[in-house]
Amino acid sequence: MIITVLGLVALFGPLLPLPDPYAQNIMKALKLPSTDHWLGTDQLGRDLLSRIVAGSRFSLLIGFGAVLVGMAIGLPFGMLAGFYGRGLDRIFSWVIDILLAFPGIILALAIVAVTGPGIGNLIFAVGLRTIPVFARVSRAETLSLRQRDFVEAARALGCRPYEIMYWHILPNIVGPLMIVASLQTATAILIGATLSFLGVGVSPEVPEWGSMLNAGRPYMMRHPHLVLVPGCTLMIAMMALNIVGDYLRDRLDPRAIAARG
Amino acid sequence: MVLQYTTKRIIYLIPTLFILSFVVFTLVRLIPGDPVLAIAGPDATPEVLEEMRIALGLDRPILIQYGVYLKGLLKGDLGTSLRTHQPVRSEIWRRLPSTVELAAAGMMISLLIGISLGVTAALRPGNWVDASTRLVSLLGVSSPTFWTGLLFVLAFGYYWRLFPIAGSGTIRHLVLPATTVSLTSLAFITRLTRASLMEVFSQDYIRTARAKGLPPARIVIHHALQNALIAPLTVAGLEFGRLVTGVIVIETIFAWPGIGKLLIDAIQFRDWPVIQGLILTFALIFAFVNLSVDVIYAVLDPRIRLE
Repeated sequence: MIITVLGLVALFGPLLPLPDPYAQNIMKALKLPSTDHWLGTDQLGRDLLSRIVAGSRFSLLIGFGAVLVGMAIGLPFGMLAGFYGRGLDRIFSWVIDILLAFPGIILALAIVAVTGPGIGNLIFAVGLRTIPVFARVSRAETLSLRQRDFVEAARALGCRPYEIMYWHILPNIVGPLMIVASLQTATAILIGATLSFLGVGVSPEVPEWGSMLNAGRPYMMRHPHLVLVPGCTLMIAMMALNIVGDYLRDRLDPRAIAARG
Repeated sequence: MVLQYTTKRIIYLIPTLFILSFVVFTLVRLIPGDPVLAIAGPDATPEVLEEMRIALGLDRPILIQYGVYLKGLLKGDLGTSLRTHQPVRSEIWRRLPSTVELAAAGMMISLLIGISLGVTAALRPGNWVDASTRLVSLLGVSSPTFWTGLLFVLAFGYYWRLFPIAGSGTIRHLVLPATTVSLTSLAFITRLTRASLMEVFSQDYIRTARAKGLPPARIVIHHALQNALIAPLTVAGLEFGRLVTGVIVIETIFAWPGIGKLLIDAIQFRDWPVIQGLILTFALIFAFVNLSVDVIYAVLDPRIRLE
């Protein structure tokens, strides 16, 4: 439910009758919530509710963007490695090991240090660390499907390898991929927000939730709503994504179902 | 056997670290902006810039530069910071103990409290302790470290001034940052302890112990916990990646003088020798922790050793 609201807000946010999230008004700076500004205003007099709404687009964009990057690169490599095995698989596993030798945040920080702040760079940096996750899952799933009868049958009928992978294996690994994707989206949003909070993600004027928290920090002792509003929003969004991820895992993952008895 | 396994793993690690150092090296060279210009300042003449470039060896091909860097690296030389003009190695060494202190304290708290909470929840599944640990662990997993950190600063620095919210040195300084660092892992370890203890409780030897009439406390401590703790203890090692994230963020919030804060400062100042040295340090620590976890696993579980 929360995710639906979040998605709708992100999609249709610009249509809502809200003040401009970038419009500054120093006269109205640091105001508490009121009828004019439901969640109050920030240090530059910008309406917090409109910034939160605008921020939902950025946060979701980072989350889904990063997962798409990870899936677009990780999935084909994982499937190829799982399907052909041997040398390819060995090289692949080695590269994955190297990628995993970095703690995720360090890798993302290194990329951002190179590319500088900006939303595209942030998506790429966060996406890079989801690549090995998707690659591993798709490799393992492909590996277990490769010898199954229906794949053998397709091969006997003269299907080309890419046809087998696309038509026969891919549809069967969509389930596990969806579980990983939903949990990874939560992690990606979190890392994106963390980088922005540290001041190395998106540029400070962009209303992303993490950067809003960072911007509100110097004022929070006198005006706690500056950090409470974006912080609570972020927490609720994360909780919703985690619950959905757990739910999907319980429903779709045969191992989890078996474990529950 | 364990020794053999360990040696094999260390040998396997070496090429990975080499590749890693090369990747980091080239990556850092891709940072836009002229490092020489950054050192010399905007007033420097082109001649001065050229001289500095030659002095720093930046005019040579990148592979040669990497060779020079690698040679220094093997001697433990990580270069000189552009910002403070101190050797990177001493910059890192000076701040590493603070980070280790914070990380170790955080890990201790999450292990101690996580395991106790997990045991309490597993003993009486469904009661209020169990229910509240579930809620707390969901909250713990869902709240970003920087958010809980800020909440702590707000609560303790403003409303109840119990603990200092910035700086380091005393135990009192350690309380807030270490608690914040521990929270995410705490949630996870609680859940894991509960699950693995519940599983052990359903096994035959526990029923035998009960049938023998042993007191429940003795069953839990002597029989069940020994087996149930393997999972949370090994996971504690794997939790290290998350811990690193936490430490970097927390050091920034609580002005804790460790290597996480150093990294963020270095990125903002584009101090590439420091960035490079720190990324390598983090990767090295991470690799070492992973290795130790695998070795501990091999000690505990003979099946892995035989592979």
